[in-house]
Amino acid sequence: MKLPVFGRRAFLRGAGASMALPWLEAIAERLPAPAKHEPIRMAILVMPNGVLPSAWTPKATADGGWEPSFALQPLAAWQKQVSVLTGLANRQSFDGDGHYAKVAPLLTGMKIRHTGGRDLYNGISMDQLAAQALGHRTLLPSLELGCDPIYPVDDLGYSTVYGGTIAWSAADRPCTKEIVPAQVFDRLFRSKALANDPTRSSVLDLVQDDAKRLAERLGRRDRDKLHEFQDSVRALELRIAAIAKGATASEPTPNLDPSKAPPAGVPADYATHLGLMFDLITLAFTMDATRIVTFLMANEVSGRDFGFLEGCRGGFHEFSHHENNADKQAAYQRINQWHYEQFATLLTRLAATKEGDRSLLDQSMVVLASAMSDGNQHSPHDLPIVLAGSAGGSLPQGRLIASKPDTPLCRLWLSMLQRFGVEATQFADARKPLL
Amino acid sequence: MPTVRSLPRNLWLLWCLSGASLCAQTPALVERFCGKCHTGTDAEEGLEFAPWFAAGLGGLQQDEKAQERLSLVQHRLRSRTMPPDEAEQPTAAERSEIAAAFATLQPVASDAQVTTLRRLTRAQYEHTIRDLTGIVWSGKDLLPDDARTYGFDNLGDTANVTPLLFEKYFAAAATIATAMLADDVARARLFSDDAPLATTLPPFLARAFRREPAAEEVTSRVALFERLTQQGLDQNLARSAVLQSILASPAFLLREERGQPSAPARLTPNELAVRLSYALSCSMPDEELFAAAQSGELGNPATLLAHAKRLLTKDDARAFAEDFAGQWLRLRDVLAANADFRLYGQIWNGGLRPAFYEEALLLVQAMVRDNLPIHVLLDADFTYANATLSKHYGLPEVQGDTFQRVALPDRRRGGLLGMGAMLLVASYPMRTSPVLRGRWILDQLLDAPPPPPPANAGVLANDEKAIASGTLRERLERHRRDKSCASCHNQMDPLGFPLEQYDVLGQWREQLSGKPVDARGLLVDGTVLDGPIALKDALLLRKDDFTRAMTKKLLLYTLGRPLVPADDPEIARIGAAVAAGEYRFHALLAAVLTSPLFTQRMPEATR
Repeated sequence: MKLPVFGRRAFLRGAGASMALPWLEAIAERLPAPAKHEPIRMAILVMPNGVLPSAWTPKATADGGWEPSFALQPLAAWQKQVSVLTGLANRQSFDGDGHYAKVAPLLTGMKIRHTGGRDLYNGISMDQLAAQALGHRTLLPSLELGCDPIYPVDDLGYSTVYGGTIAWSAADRPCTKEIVPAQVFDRLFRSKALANDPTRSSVLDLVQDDAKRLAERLGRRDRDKLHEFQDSVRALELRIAAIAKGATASEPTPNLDPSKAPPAGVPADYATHLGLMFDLITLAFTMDATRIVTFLMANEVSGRDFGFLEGCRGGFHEFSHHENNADKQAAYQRINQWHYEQFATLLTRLAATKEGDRSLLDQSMVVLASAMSDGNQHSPHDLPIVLAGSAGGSLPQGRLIASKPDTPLCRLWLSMLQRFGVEATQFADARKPLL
Repeated sequence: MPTVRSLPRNLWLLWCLSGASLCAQTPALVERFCGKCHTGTDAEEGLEFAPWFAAGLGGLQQDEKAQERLSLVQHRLRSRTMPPDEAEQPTAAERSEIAAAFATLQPVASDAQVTTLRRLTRAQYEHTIRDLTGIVWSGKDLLPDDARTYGFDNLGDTANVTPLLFEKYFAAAATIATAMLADDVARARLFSDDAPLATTLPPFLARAFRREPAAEEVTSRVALFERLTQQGLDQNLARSAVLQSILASPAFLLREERGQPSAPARLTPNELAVRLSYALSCSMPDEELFAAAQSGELGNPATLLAHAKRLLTKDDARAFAEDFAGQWLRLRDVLAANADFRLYGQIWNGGLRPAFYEEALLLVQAMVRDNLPIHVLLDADFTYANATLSKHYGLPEVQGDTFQRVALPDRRRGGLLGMGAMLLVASYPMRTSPVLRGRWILDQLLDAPPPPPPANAGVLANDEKAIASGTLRERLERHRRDKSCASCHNQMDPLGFPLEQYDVLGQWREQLSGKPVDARGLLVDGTVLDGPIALKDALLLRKDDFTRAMTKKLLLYTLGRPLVPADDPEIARIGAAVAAGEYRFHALLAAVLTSPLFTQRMPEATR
């Protein structure tokens, strides 16, 4: 197979400083050719604990653009490729107090059931809707990434699961997110081995037969759980079948030397962790292993110590409850800003990867959002959202898109779903697209 | 606390329509203790109780918001944060009567006592693989942490099997099968060169599925093996396929409890054996337990208890301590807990946190092994230490890394409250927190978790500047002046202050910010607890609260479902049995394991 047009050097240059990773170099040498019809991708990144609105909200420019605020300063170089959205909110999250009641429904637009664990109930998230409609075209329907395991404590009676899960494949089915970079890497390259194993499908058949027999013996509540199990087995079967038939667009395995994989375990350094995940998102998009990614950069209520930033020793969550104290606000907004610095490195990676005449960034819709605006108030209004990439040129960027207060956030999700190719005319409380 | 809005319209309407007859329906005690503030259109927090009782269960059930507010009220009552301190306080009996009155408004889900189908947790999976195959395999890299619900990771409700998770279990099955086939002893557990698979498979499947396998479960696997070998596949690959089909089967990964009984029904002996072994050994039943289930002897409570004690003795209660106590007391969290290295340089000693963990586990193991009163966890005249820990605590020196039992010279140590594990888990990295420590005591030891703080509660700053600006006590006192804060902090803080005598890493300190440590906590009833020994004495007077706390945690863990008010009578009965048994661990064990909650499967509603 011919080396792809974007080539190794371009890919490596794209990813910026933290790309000096031997395993990526090895991948780049074997990257498959891009798909014929450059597909649209979407990535939704979510950061915890809201922002300091006074340091976040940008001013409009005369030509409809935005002036970088303190928090958005790191995106100054990307002004033309990024739009800032204001006025959006998930109205269904207005009643639930605390953090979890806001983050869990961020991508579903639904009101979650107030429960500590029994009978979790949310809605299907927009990424999973897209994955269920169009995910069969790629090796993995979608990727769900994170940096933290589910935290052990609930939030005002809202289940721990709500606080660490933004992707939901059904109202009662939270998607497990992968937090170990090496595991994501394995998964991207594991598939061909699965497809090549002559015993897999018979083994999975047996497992399904066991499940059918088991279902007959179970009560109603247990059967619901078993159905999830059966669907999960089915998902793997479909994937293997698709690879075996060559139905997915991507070339699944470049026969990588496993020793070139990212280091095992969860990286101790947060920036390194994020950087590896960004590398993997870029890689997955480049090889067209998936076109849909959600990435919860940290669980809601994260108390991470950003002591590596000047004046930010202490917990993120505590700073977010700034009580209008100037020192706390200074730390809070600096931590917010740092998240955009990281986001910019993802944009750099995507922009530097060429696909046909365009960059991967041009082919994508990349969102960074938080489920709250002012963390001090747990405010669910006027959510801080930026959107990068032009979805194959259909999305003019560089705008300040100011909506009326409490415009349904799902209108943005609906716009993205439509551009992604999902035939939808409404999503949750959105009846028309925003863009 | 959520913002409480005015009552929904239908309740107002009911209230208006039903007029004066309402007051008669509000229970007298609610009227007496709550009525002063929670009456009329200007009721505190917009919480007016008369219309609730007028509307009754039927009226309230229609309204989700009203239900949320009801559960808030119940929480406040349980946590004793209402009525407020300055108001007349109900006696314990009156309080429970008030709670019962509100409980009549609480719709009981018809299947609230049903345990949802459980998946093996990562710890259970590892232990089960070890016992089934003989292969020691760590899932730490592959399998994610299981979500903890109400503090425990083994509740069925949140034990989903997502596509990603199944993929991981499937990958694990392949890895383990390979390891098993490469090991002569492990391989012989299923495969023999002398006997056909049709002979060796049924006993192995019975252990893997924790019940007699169905005929088809055996024949389909034998057929698979034969088909693959006939296709010319290497025998090892065919064997691996058989193993994977077992390890990825729902019959292995999920803990089946049969049926949909229409009334409470005894578990089958096998199911009882499985509940017992996962509760006490975090693993599958061993051969003796299976045999007892087969013969039916396990139905005899004495036999059940004998096996319980045997299982606990087998590994010196290690798995029980790690999995149950490790989660109940949040001991697990100490391994990843942080202290600021600039203030607490000892944190660089990689052996310190594991030593904290070990010390606490060993006390739990001693309680089980020697059938000690459960309140040995609150106060003990011994502890366990190695060289690192004895030096850290300033105890008589112990040599080497191995832990030894140490008789304590005084009462400053002894029991969880003098342990680095508890003290570090309930601290911030840069300072101690009477609030977190008090909360830990209320939540873990006294079954009185305070409600979560309101959204605008604010957090005491933890940076150096803030710490320097005033002593913690002064800052907390300022905080408590706010009435909405006081009701909870008056519960938490006085239990935490006596522990100020220990720093973040649990070292004894006499000075704090250049002044002698003020370790006095003022309880709501006026009692002053000065220092950890007084605190321990106070907790020892609340043995029954502690028993209830431990009982509830143990039930949560063994039943794998949230507890509901319908469980209360049984919890009370267990508590009485434990008291009658001198609070000894075996009394608790017996009362829990013979409780119908443990031995029965509850009916569920049909949809």
